[in-house]
Amino acid sequence: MPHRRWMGLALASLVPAIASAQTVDEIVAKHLAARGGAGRIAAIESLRMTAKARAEGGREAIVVREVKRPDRIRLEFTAQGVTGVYAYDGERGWRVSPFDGELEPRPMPPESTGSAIEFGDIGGPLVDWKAKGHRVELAGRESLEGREAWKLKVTLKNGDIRYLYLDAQSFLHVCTEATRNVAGRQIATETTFGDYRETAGVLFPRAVEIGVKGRPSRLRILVGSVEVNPVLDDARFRMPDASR
Amino acid sequence: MQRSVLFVLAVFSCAAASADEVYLKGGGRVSGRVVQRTATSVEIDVGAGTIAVPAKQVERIVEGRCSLDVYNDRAGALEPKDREGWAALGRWASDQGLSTQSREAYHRVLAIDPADAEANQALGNVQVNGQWMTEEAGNRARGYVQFEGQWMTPAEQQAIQSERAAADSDRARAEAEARARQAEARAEEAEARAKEAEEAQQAPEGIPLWWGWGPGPVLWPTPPRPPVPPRPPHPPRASP
Repeated sequence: MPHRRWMGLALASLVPAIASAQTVDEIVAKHLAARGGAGRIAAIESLRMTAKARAEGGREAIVVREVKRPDRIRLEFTAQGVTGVYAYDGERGWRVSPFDGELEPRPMPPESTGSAIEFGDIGGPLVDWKAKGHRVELAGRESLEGREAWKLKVTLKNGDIRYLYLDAQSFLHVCTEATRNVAGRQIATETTFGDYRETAGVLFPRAVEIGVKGRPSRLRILVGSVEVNPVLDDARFRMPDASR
Repeated sequence: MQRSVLFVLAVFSCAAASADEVYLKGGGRVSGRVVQRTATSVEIDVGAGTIAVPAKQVERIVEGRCSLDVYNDRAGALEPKDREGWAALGRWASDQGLSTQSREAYHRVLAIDPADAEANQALGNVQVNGQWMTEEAGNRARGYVQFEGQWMTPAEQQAIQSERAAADSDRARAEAEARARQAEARAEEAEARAKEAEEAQQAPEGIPLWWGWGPGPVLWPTPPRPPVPPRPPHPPRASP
């Protein structure tokens, strides 16, 4: 359909003019609509994602991530028959991490707890961001691997800053940039999201890549299945008493 | 850092006693073959080595065939030249989280066809100018350098080294000042070294999940790690 392509190009040429009229609220509203709508996202009470994580050197692990409102997350990481558990019950983080030499439940290190709190938010930081105490500002519009993207500066309630890139056409979240303290150095990390597919009327990224900006190594996560509203007992997120 | 698990590199053994799922009290799990069981510990062969779990941490053991047994049965039935069979076994082992066995199967595929795309990708190899090579060789071919286990541009390596040189200079100045307060400085230095050593030991290898997806292990599991030797006690702190 060549005429459609030309029509698409003509519409694309209008984008800069339209862009100037975009506000943060409009962009976020379009983003939520693109994902399936705020109503459908709000209807998600719990989630279970099963994925394969692949690091350099052909190292692989099976990862099961369970999230439940409010702010609960549990991640099981299995490599070579060994399973570790990393969880946050809304108040405290704990882990059983044979990979770190720990077989009994222990409090989670602070950086990992911060991650648990951040990723335990089912809808993500843009859903009801004002009510959550985050701040969102429009930081510009940039080209990301040849595609235009809105750049949003998200200051989380705890003060951490994330730059979220939303594809200018689809309004889907395609990248997050964050600066993290690694061994005393500030490192710019980036996480990309792609291969969006629908489950229960909501789009979820099935391909996630995590890395350091400017470096070639990537941790790749391929999500095989997404279950919406599975029954997840609260006890799964609470730190077990291993002394019993 | 206390390490209650003993990871011991071991020769892959088929003379196992049984195949079990060992459930830990805290919710973790170890799947493999129990090769030794005493009153105080359970030793499990997970296919890439053995793990010794203190018996008090074990909630229950469910006996049965583990994925490792299935892998060995399937591998034993395959002809060396069966490319499809080895590739299918590599995929299956990967789906079971048996990284070591998956790599073993894919290496068999490469022995049959060194240019096999699926096996090369599964082994983490990369294609540069039409040639498959290891990720390490690929990174070098693309101009990256390896510095302290991380691949980066030469410019970034230079920047890190410059930062450190400046930090060393600052440290030297601080040490000169500290010499005036010799006794305290000695204690501080010893403490700082111990902390550095501990931090180096805890530094993440590779890219942790918590950077972008959720909480996870600090250390990406590489081949089983030997236990960390106990740190020598700190020298007594001098009184001010």
